[in-house]
Formats: sequence, structure tokens, C-alpha cells
Amino acid sequence: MNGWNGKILEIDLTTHTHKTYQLDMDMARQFIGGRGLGARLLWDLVGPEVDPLAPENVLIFTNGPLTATGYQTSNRFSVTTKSPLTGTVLDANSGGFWGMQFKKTGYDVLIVRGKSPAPVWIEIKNSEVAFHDASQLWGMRVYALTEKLGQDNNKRNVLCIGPAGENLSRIASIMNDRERALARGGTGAVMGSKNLKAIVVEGSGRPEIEDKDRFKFMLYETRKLLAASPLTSQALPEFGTVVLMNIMNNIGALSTRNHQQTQFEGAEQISGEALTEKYLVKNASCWACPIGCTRISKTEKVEGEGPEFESTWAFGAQCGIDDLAAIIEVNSLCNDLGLDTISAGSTIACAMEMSEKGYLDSDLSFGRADQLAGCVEDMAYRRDLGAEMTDGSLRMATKYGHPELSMSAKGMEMPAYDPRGLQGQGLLYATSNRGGCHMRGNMIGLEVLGLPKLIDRFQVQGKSSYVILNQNSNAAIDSLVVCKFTNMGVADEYFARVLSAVTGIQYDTGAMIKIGERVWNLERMYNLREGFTRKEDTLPARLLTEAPLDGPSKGWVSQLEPMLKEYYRGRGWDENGVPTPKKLADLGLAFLQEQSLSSLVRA
Amino acid sequence: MAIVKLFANLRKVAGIRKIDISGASLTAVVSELVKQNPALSGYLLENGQLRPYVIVTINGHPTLDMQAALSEQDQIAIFPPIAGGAYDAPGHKLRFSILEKSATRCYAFVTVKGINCHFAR
Repeated sequence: MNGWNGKILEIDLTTHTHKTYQLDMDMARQFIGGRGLGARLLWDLVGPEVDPLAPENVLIFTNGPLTATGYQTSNRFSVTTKSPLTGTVLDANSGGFWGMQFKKTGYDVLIVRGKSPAPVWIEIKNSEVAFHDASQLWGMRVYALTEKLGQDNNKRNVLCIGPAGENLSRIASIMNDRERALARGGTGAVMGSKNLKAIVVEGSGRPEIEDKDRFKFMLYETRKLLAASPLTSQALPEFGTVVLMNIMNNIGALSTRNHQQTQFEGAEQISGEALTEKYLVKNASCWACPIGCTRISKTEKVEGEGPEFESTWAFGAQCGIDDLAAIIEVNSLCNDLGLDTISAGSTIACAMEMSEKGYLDSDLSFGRADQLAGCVEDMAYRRDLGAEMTDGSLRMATKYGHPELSMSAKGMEMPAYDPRGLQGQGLLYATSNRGGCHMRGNMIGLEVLGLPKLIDRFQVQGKSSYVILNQNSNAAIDSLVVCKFTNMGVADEYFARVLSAVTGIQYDTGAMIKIGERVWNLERMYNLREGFTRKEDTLPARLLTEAPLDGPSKGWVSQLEPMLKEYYRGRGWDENGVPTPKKLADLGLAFLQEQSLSSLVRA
Repeated sequence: MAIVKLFANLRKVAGIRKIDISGASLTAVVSELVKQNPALSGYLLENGQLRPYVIVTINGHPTLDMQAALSEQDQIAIFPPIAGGAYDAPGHKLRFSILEKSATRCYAFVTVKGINCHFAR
């Protein structure tokens, strides 16, 4: 057995006990690891009767067969759970060092069940598992806690929640290695609901590699390709992900002021160019990553990682704010409190619009950089209006009678790329299994950057086939688990080759894409079992009916309906978006049919 | 006069952010831009053509049509390649290296004109 450790560690917080058992290797071959393996385990462990914040929900931490091998970006790991924000299947993955260290403890999977009677933190040193009282740590913020528990990048790594997770914010993140985040969907709330403050890992093992010569060659090839790609060798290290700000603004696809516009007049002030010129201290990188896209920024008040493009957009253009220093500072504050920056920023933007329109009794308004930090603090501690904002924009907007002002899909706040100027991206958001998310198969490469070729961003017919391929490919990459940025310099074929070298099992590109499709269909079936239907495969009405009044996307709305019909056909699903028995059988998912498919479709 | 805006490292290379340039087509404007700012040549052109993956928009619409006719006051934005391709710098020369050689196998890696190849025997 190579690549995988072959072991699952299961911890029951209710009884403070743990057990180890064998990983089902047939399952591992079919779902690899990371997101895929997590979804497969969640299917068995958490049914529709379970509330996401109940002890019966689980946290499934997974690495993959490439993790800790030293392959480029093999530092990442996933957490899978039922989302308290959306109610869907949820996986979030993160970089840094924790995933590598967890793999070195000798486990592929950590399942956390139950609820501790009192706050607790867990220490895993190879096969030893210890439960520690965390009552003195409860309330601590992420940076101080990470240091207190002995974070040491290559030896001992800390994963924890901040006050937001403790207070069951449905947009709380789990943080690792100080400033890395399992950000989206409320992972931190699930951990908080279990009274689990932190998981610290120390490992000394190393995964076995089947064909070391072939693996070394793949390392060499990948390094060369990443160095040769202008994105992974130049644009990302030099300008970070925020390099996208000016591009998206230029083409009129930068959602602005809660998606009321698609261009922001202050984009230049919050661009990657501005960040580099005024605030960049140095670059940094995750374990085994030659790309080094991490930006260490410094203002008069803070110094730390980020902000990434989406965070800069969420607190910037989406809130009508062009004060980059304030954005850097609120990004750092979110990391310290353990909040998802995209959902936090977009929820503030929603509240700003509702306040300006008189739907909320609040002085929040667009452009007020001075209001950001207070909002975020209030969200983390459930104070005042923050008590409602902290459960996301849809719940807040619904409470005050205007759910249409939540810029979310399936209840998860969407990122920066406006679907009115990027038709494929809109279809991606609407069909994403975890809600409004760009990491499920981003279409920006095809619709804007020309990677691998430029297609018409306003095109509707035929767009679904690209979305499906991207979704499947991304699901496979998330199951390896490696960083998606490598895919900008390295083709899917390389992932198949390196996976073959590590495991000794022959994978090719087609097999990888099929694994991705299998994962996607399993996630879809999970959501259907939870009661989701075709009706939830949609976008906010604003994007379907309100065209931008100016800019390059003037006059366009999302043409979702025809794309969605085509998408269902392309997926091999019926007109209600339910995978057909034949499709499930083709993917080796026939066992899912034990549940009556007809009962999965609500009227 | 078309208004040409430069982004990311093109600003540093050219030392300007924006310039007004006359030209009937995108090709003509880019040629004139490079003529006035020779340092941009290797970043934008290859054999007289626009380098792959350089992003050009006309009034906010990405285009690959270098013969596109331009009107007065058209706004052109040029971004360096930020995705794809196999270029690492202008003037990329052939590189060849034997990675591993033994009695049974030989791995070599060659990069020439932006094309990465590997050979295994």
C-alpha cells in the first residue's frame, strides 16, 4: 500500500475515546482522498435527519495519497461536514502545513463525532491521542492560541477555531497554521458545536512511494512547468491573486455594491498593483510549494498573510470601499476571529444596501471603511446586528423581508465574478454542490484569461459542457489533494501520472476525470437526499433580471435557464436534475439507488 | 487616438500606465506602442505577432482579433499573460538537461521556444 497510510482515526468527543481502523482501499481507489473520500464517508455517516450543529454531525478531515510526499503543493487537506450555512454537503480545503503534518501521524482520515461535555483540545502525536481541557483557552483568538499551543511549521501544527466558531457563527471558519482557513460554509461552527477548540498534530512518518524514480522525474517535470508558466512563476508571486481585480473590473464583471453594479470606480486603489506597491512586505509559501503566492502585507496596524483577491473584493468593491489599508486590516481581523472573509464581506454589503433602503435600522452604508472592523467584531461575538449578520446574508435578509438582496446561491455568498458578464460562471454558481463558490470549476480561465482558449463570455449555447468538465476536473484535484494553482501550469495528465507513480495504480486523464464526475454525482445525490431540488439550482433574482446600466456587460443578465437544461442533459441527469440510474451505475454509484430516486424529488 | 492602458508588470517595464496612440487596428496600435516603448517588445510580441495569452480588451471586451478596427476614443487594456502557456521570459532560449541516466533508462527535459518536452527511454 503506497501513498495512502491505510488508517482512519475516529474520535468520539462525547466519551473522549478514540479508535483506529483500516481505510477501505476499494473506496480509496474510487474516491482517492480529500473531498472525494470525505463525501463518500459523509454519505454513510450523516443522514438528512441530522442538524448540522447537532452532535451527530461529523467533521471528516482527509488528506490524499500525494499529501506529504513532497510533490509540489502536496500540503493540502480537506474537511467535510454537513454545512450549517447551506445544509448541503460541504468540503473546504486549506494549505499551509497542517495537512502534511497530519499525514505524517500515520492517518489518512480523522473523523470527529459527538460533543464534548466541556471545551477540549486534541493532541495527536503519531498514534498517540490526548484530550486536554480547553476551558482556559475558550474565548482566545486564533493568533494567540496558535502560538500558545506551540505552532512550529515543520514540526507541530495547530488547527483551531476563534470566537466566531465558539459562538456558532454559520460563516465561521476553521483556521490552521495561524492564517490558513477551511473557510467556507461554517466549518468553524460545527467545530464549536462540539466544544472542540483545537487539534494539534505532530508526526514523524512519511508516505511510501511505489516508483521513486518515476516520482522524482514527475517532481522535476512539474517544477519546470510551474517555473515556465507565467502565472505560477510571475503573476501570482509578483502580484498575488489580487492581480485579477483590474482585469475583472476592466471587463465589467466585478460585482460592486452588493451586485448593484459590475464595475467599481475604486478598483485601481485596491488592485494587486496597489497592494504590491504600497503594502507588500514579502512573499511566503505553503509546504512544498514553489509558487509562493502568499503575500505578507503590512499596514500601520497589522502585518500578516493576504489579503487574497476574493477577500479584497468582498470588503472592497462589494462594500464600495477603496481603502486598501482598511481591507488588509479587516482581513487580518477575520483570520484572528475565525470568519470566512467572502461571506462576511458580502453579508456586510447586503446589510449596507438594506440599511440604505430603509429595510434595516442601521447606519451602515456603502463606502464606510470605518464600519468594517466593528461589523466583523459584532459578527464574531453575536452582538447587536452582528448577531443576525453572523449567520449569513440570506438568513438576515429573509428575517427583514428581503431575501432577494442576499447575493448567494444555496445560501452561500458568491465570490467576485459577476454572472451577468460571465455566463458560464453563473451556471457554475447555480449548480455548485456547496453553494455560491468559484472553487468548484472556475470558468475565468476560459471566459477571460484564454486558458486554454478564449471563449465568448456571453455565449450561452454549449457553455454547460465546459462547466461540467471544469467541475469534474476540480473535484478530482480536490480529491488528490493539491492546490488548484498547479493546474495553471500543469495539465490533468500530470496529476494522473504522479498519482500512478506514488500509488502504483495506473491512472490516466480519463480515469481522473471520471473520479471527479463520480465525486460530483455523489455530492449531488447527498444534496437531493437532504431535500434540495432543481429550484435551488438558481441565482439571485437581481442577476437574472437586472442588467447593468453601463460598462462592458451593459444590458446582460444571466441566461441561466437554457444553460441549466443543457447542463442536466450533459450530466446525464433527468429534467429535475436527478442523476439517472444508468449514470449512477456507470460511475459505480449504483448503491445510492437503494434509496428510491423518486422519493428524492420534492414536489 | 485610442487610449491604451497597461497593467501589472507591463507598467514597470514601460514606465507608464496609460498612453494615447493612433492606429486603425489593434495590430497598428500595439506596433506603435512597442515602437515607443521598446522594452515592451519581448513581453507583447513574438515574431511580430501578439504573444499567446497576452490579454487584450477593447472597451472591456477580450479579443484575439488583432485586425479589429479601432475608432477614436476606443479604450484598449493590455494585461501580461497571467495564465497558461509555457513562457517564462522574453527571449527564451533552448534549454536541455539530462535528468537521469542509467543502463535502463534516460530522462531528459528540453524547453525550446516555450514548448516543454520530455523524453524517456
